[in-house]
Amino acid sequence: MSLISRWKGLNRTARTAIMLAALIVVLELLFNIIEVTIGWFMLWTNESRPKVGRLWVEEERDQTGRQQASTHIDSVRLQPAYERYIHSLDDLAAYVAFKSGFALSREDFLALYRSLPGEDAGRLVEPELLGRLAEADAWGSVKLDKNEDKLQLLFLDFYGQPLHSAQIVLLSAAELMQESHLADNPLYAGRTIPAPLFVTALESLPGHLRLQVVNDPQKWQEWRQRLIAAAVATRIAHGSVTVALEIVQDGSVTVQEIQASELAVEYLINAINALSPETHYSCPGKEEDHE
Amino acid sequence: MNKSFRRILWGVLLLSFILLLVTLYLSVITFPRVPDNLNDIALNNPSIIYGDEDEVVKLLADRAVIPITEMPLTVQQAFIAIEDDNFYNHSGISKLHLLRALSENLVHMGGKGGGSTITQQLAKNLFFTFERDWARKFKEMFVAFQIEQQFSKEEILEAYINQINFGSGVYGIELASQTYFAKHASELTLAESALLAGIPRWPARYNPSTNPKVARERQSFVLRRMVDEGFITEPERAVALAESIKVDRVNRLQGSADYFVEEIKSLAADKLTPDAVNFGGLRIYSTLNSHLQLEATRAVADGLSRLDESLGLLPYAQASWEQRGNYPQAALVAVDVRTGAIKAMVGGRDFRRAPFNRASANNRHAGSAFKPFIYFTALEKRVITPATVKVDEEVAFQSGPKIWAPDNIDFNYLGPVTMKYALLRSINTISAKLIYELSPEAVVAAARRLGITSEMGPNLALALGATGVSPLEMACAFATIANGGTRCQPFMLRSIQNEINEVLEETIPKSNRVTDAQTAFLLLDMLTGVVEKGGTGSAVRSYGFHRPCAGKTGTSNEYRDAWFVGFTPELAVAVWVGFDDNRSMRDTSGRGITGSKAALPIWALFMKNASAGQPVTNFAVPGRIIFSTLDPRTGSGRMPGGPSITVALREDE
Repeated sequence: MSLISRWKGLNRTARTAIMLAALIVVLELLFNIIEVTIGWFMLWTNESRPKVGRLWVEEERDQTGRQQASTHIDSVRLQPAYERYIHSLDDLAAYVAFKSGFALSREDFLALYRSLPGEDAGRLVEPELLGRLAEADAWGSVKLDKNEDKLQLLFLDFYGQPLHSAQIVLLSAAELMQESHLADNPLYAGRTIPAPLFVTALESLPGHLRLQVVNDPQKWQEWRQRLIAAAVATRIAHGSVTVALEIVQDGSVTVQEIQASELAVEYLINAINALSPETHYSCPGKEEDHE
Repeated sequence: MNKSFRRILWGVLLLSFILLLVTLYLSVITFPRVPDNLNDIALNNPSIIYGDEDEVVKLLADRAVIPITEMPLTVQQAFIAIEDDNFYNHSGISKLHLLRALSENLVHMGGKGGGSTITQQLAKNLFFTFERDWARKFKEMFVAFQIEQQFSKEEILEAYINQINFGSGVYGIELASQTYFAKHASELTLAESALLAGIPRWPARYNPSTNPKVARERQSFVLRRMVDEGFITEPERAVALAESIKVDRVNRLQGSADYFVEEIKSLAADKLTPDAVNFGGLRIYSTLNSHLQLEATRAVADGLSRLDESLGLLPYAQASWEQRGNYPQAALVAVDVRTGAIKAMVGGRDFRRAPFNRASANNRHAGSAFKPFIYFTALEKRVITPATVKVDEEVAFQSGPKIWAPDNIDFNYLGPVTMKYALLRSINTISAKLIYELSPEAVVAAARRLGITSEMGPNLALALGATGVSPLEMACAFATIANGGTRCQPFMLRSIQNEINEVLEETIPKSNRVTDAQTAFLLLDMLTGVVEKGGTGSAVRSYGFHRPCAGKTGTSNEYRDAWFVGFTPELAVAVWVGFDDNRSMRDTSGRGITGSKAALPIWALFMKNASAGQPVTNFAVPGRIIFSTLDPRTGSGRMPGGPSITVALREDE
């Protein structure tokens, strides 16, 4: 029996079912062809289409982020750490402590020195000493270390041999006062003055009065960096007043007693009281005449 | 049909075909471009925030991509069974699902959606918004066809599993695995694979952390589908169903460090740029301690749920989104006393509902928690010793043109009291007398030295803490006392590095002595009295925290703010509780809620759990300090059987 006669022999329902099945197969095939064709067409147009949608937005952000991070790291590479983190002597001390010591070339150290505020730079290294080292060709680098409250500087030559060492006491005003033993001396009890206050007050006086308190300006430049505390005696003796300067020298504390003029001390105390109204210091009184 | 007619017909057909092509081209030319390699983009490393022990706190991209070879077969099978059982046979769409979706859409006359294959879902997630319209569906279908032509089935499945939403703000199987089970995806069991594969269809509903019961039902359904598809046998399903699954998010901190993460992102963005921080593939090392952070989050949640109850509020979880805006808030910040490192930070009860960080940015009245700064000023200036006696009595002071007459909170006056006793009982009149004697300016200067950075008005009302401060400032200022007078600058960012460990930024910890160790210790000793019997913070002990500690309660006017700030030798912690809109906190019977009721329990619970297992340490006593036992009221020698108090004194006092 031929296929045609078989087909004719089928009833209407069977014919419909077979035709439907055939239609589905054809549609399925057609649909598959369409899917693949569209897929290829899309692929063909891919490069002409825009980069839109979440994935591309993220991609752009990723690239921007990476680019910005990369730019930042480039700038970090170009900029020495001290430029970013060290703006004062306290910053330097914190940085040295954090890094457990570090070394700087001569040029970097000089650049750091110049970037510090004047007073901090002066405390770090005395300008004259630095001047002498800078003039010497042998100086190559500086090694910095922190030991408790002291910042240690070791100036080295190009072969790593020490040329000079220096030490800076890193104490705040409160700490400096703690170290002070001036108050133990009955002559100065209750009359001790924190170093920063004394320095500021003295340096606010006119030059001639300043000289009547400390008559050696060169010495004063050295002492002011090492000063812990000062005190003014309560009594005037023979027209002058004893001013005690408590100074850190080679790791130990020494007291320098100087005789200042009565008039200059009065101006000094007025300057101190003006700077620190909370603490009122009285001017020294005259010693009783026992004659 | 003549020859010319045929030619015309062919011409028309050709023209129609060309027109069709042009139309098609013009339509698809606006569709999104598909990358050459899905993984090229998906594999970009996200920026990562690390904690103090270099553990991962947060992946900023919320995605971690792994190759399909590292995904267990059960994961792949579970996704195919539940999302697209015909995945390996179709060319982008499932005709049966499409027909069903079409008929449903016609019946409902709207875009109900559904029936998407894995490829379609991938296309949608990568390129399209979640708006449901025919144009989007049409584009998504076309892109799906392209993806099928361009990539292998494995590549498609890999990209899909790596970027699908698993709830809790995480995408991709690796991060989901780490988030819910604290393990890598390669270690997932069949039961865990099925549980995770069930989530993406409806992440909020099938989240195993928030809806464990529903998630287990969904897991059972996924396993059934896997049996139906022949991936597993019935006995394997039974074993998987019997497996006890512990949803463990402990190591991931998901959600519990959101305030800290936002803070550090903002800090890092200030130094770099937001895009560099989020997408620069950076490693951001923070000071956060995961253990402390989790305990902080738990303590805040526990304390607030108790507070909600006493305020007569519904449990927070049952409140609507709108109602949640009217719930009390809390903040906690924990600072390492010796370094200033911020170890834990909770800025509110719900980051998603209220992302404002109350731990660092809030500015709320400190109440009596400010009093230690007044006593500190007086101790430092040697105006008082802890044994000095002053009279607690009605007071009135001239303050400009007005008379200022502060009362004690209970309107009772005790007569003569020692300074330590006055502080531990938080007597207002004594603080008022002290600030009047010292001057508000001196107190402001001292508080600033200790670590308060907010603007403080130099007025007598400072005696009662009428000045806005943040919990972070308070924790830092108290840390200065705990650290023997050395103030450490608070910091939360240790360093920022790139993928090859080059340092982009780092924090240099800074500290400076702001007062002598003796003065700091005198105040510290006075504050230890607060948490002992008779002190306003004695409840600390009843919450089971028995280690050496010190602190101070604080309650602002009209019970608007409740504080407890305290410390151990290691950690200084400030807790604030209050309403964002400055409402009074009163319980259902109208009683005001104080710092010891609202903030102290959070502090005590946190400290108890945070320090569990750690060795007990005592506060170090500096030199030139002596101890004396005396009558807390008269300051004279202790009478046999009478009340007594031990005070620290300077040797020379």
